[in-house]
Amino acid sequence: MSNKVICIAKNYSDTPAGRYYSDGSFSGERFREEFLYPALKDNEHVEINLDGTLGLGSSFLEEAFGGLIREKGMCLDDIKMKLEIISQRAVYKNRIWEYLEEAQLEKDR
Amino acid sequence: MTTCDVAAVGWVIALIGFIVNNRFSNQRETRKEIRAKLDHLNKSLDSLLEASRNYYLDDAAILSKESIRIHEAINSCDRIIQELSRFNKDCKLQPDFYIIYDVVTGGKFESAKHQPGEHNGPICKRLSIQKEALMQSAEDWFSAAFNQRAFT
Repeated sequence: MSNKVICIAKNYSDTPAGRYYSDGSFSGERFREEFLYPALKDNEHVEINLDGTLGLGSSFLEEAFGGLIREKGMCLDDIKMKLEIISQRAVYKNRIWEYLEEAQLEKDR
Repeated sequence: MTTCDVAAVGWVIALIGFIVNNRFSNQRETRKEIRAKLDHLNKSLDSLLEASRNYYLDDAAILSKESIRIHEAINSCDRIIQELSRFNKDCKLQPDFYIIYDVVTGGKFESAKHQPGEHNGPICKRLSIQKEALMQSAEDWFSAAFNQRAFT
């Protein structure tokens, strides 16, 4: 079983910000397209560590994670089986799973 | 009843008095600690609102500075809310707080194209309303958790 660990602060940026590529260098869209989706596609288990960043906006998190379902066509059940979120801050971890559920609901409508 | 019995009863009454007094004293201390946490939460929310107003409305604001304050305040609020829900599982402030988090940091937050100005007024109004809702929930929970009459 292949595992992948991505620490956003170390492997991407300690100040990730913005939703789309056009919003800045370390946007949620770029993280999804260049880090998160390739990792989920090629591995059985992906751990995303959110600690060590200044903070994460909902625009970044929603686009990065909700976009997996909305833009990349993944389904919530597959993501639940593969993805593990590590964070000391409950707000980020809880909201990511809620964004994923909302994106799946939107897709199913 | 012998003198010895009377003395024993006296000791038992004194012991019960000590235990009851100690228990109430501990409850008062816990109440003070939780009150301090709620006051801290209120201050952090005020700081979040002030930074948000600057970020969304003020042309002269240094946006990156305000964005740092917003993240700091969100982390601080989240930490306090987690501590309160660990103390008492009936303390459910997350839903109100998550709405605030989404309002402040959603949309085009931290976009290079962000434009402060009056058009962001509705965001700030919604934040004020939601902050009041959160603090009202917190105060209601506090009153229910610590029966005011028992401690005043």
